[in-house]
Amino acid sequence: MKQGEGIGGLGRFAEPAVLVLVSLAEGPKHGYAIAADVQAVSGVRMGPGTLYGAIARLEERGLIEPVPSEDRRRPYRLTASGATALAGHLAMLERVTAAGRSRLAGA
Amino acid sequence: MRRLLRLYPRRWRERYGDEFELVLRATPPGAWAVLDVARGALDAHVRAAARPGPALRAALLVLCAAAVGWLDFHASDDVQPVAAALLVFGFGFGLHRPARAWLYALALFSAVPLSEVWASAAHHAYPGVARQAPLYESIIALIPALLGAYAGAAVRWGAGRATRG
Repeated sequence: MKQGEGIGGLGRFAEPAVLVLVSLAEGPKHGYAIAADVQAVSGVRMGPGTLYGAIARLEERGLIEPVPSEDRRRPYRLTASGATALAGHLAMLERVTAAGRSRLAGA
Repeated sequence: MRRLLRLYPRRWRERYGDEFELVLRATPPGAWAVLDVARGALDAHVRAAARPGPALRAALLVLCAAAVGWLDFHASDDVQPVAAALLVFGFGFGLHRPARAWLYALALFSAVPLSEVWASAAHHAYPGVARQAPLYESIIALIPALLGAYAGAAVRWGAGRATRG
């Protein structure tokens, strides 16, 4: 288990993982609903291989967890560490965005 | 498209197969989807290979401890091969699971006193050694085991920190 390693440790797999976390920040969703939401929010079309690669990594790190369900479509929800990791990552992205905008404006 | 699921490792299919199949069915078929699933399956295989299950890990640990014990049993007064084996095996297990580095070090180290108890019971004569050292002296073997395990753990922790930037 890699619990507590956060989003940074995902390296090049971080982007789909962040999109999944953002989707689950709204509430529990199953795989298909996550893919549809990600496409609606970001325009990114996430294939099943990419989606479940991200879900498996996030679950392994304890950032998301399955919600008990009788349905074959198992929903997932954000854990407390997932919410903290997402908040930290979004704050970092905000800083990068602000720096980029300010530098572009001065160019 | 459903046949693509067979590309994934069995354990992965047992865990995610049902729900993955539902998403796969809802995905428009095409080269893009096939490539995405094939890449996901390759990734799942690589990750599964990099993370042996508990049974394989336990078997590896027993094998490594047996190798340490064998080296100790056949050692003369030269303890370097035993120390080197403890360092190398400890490093590997510490790298693999840094949080359990101490446990792996203890398990590997335990092969040394066990081998000496065995040697004493079997009246085994160590080549070039007039009298067998007292058993408590084998505690010294804990040093290379812990050094190796925590060197592996430090490398893993350092790599994790570097990736997080």
